[in-house]
Amino acid sequence: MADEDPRYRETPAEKAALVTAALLLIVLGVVVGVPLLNWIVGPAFVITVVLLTAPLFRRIMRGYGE
Amino acid sequence: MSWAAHELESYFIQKHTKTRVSYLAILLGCFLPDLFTKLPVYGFTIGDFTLRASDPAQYHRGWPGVGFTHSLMFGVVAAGLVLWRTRSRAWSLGLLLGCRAHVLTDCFDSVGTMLFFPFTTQRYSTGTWAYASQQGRYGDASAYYSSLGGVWDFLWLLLAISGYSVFSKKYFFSTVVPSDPAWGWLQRTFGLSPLAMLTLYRSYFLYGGCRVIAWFVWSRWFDDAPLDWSWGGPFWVDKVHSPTTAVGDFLLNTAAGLLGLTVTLWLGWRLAAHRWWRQAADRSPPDQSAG
Repeated sequence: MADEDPRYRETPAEKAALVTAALLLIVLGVVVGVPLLNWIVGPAFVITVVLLTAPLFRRIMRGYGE
Repeated sequence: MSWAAHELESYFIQKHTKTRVSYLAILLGCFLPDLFTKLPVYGFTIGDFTLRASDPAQYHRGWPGVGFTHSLMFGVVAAGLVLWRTRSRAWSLGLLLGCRAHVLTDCFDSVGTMLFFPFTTQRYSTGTWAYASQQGRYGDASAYYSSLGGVWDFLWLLLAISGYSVFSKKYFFSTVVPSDPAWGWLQRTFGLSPLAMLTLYRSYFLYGGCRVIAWFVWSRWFDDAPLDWSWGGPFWVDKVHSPTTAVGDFLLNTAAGLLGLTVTLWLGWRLAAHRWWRQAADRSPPDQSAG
């Protein structure tokens, strides 16, 4: 089954990173201001947050798993 | 329609196009009509220099102005140029679909778009919500997210979420990447990891969805803008209308526009585009190693 292919498996750390990026986007969008988070900076912000926090969450979750 | 919703519609089109199409081209197509023209609509200032259209609605959607970017022909020309230069069906089709979606969904505000430009400057508008770009970025957002425009955005968000499988890793690596050699190029050129590519693909959904929520919350609780979900609202904004046309003139303009568009498309296809399209089919399949 393709779903069991490890390449296609979503890890909890990746999901947590996506949720973090979404929450930050909403909070920053409401509180800090809007023109800053434009259609280039906004998605770049999402990518940066996910790439930075996914390994962090992976490490934290591995720590809990042990 | 808001940029956030234009971002969300790209995923919907990608999911429901039953042929090979580039997601990146759809996204670019969804942006293209506003890409080089929206900045002077809201205006910006650097030092003593200020760039702002004196009549934002006329500049943005009219002629004279840059309203030609919101016509059906604009997407055709953009797609034709891409097909000519790259011989890529996936990119050409993606651009065409993206541009068309943008132009058609912008018909819902009170100014509308010149769908059949250059054959007619007749604007097509349902007047569902007020066009208020002349109020500046914040004023426009406040009016939009207090009107049926905000409802429309949430509808696009729901439509995107309802097709949640397009955001899965499996869909990205088995459908999106193989349809578009640009992903392989991005991977090779910038050394992007699979996670970075996947996040890039998802980022416009996340960004668009969160912007819809953030703008709505901001309008309600930070700007205190009253909600008005009546047709053509909100009542409290000084909205711009498209020029009124008599029914006879409207029908005549539409007939001229349809005829001009059909003849031009037929001629363009017969003279050149069909050859480029066939040559594109002869090309080898795109790099599928990105996944």
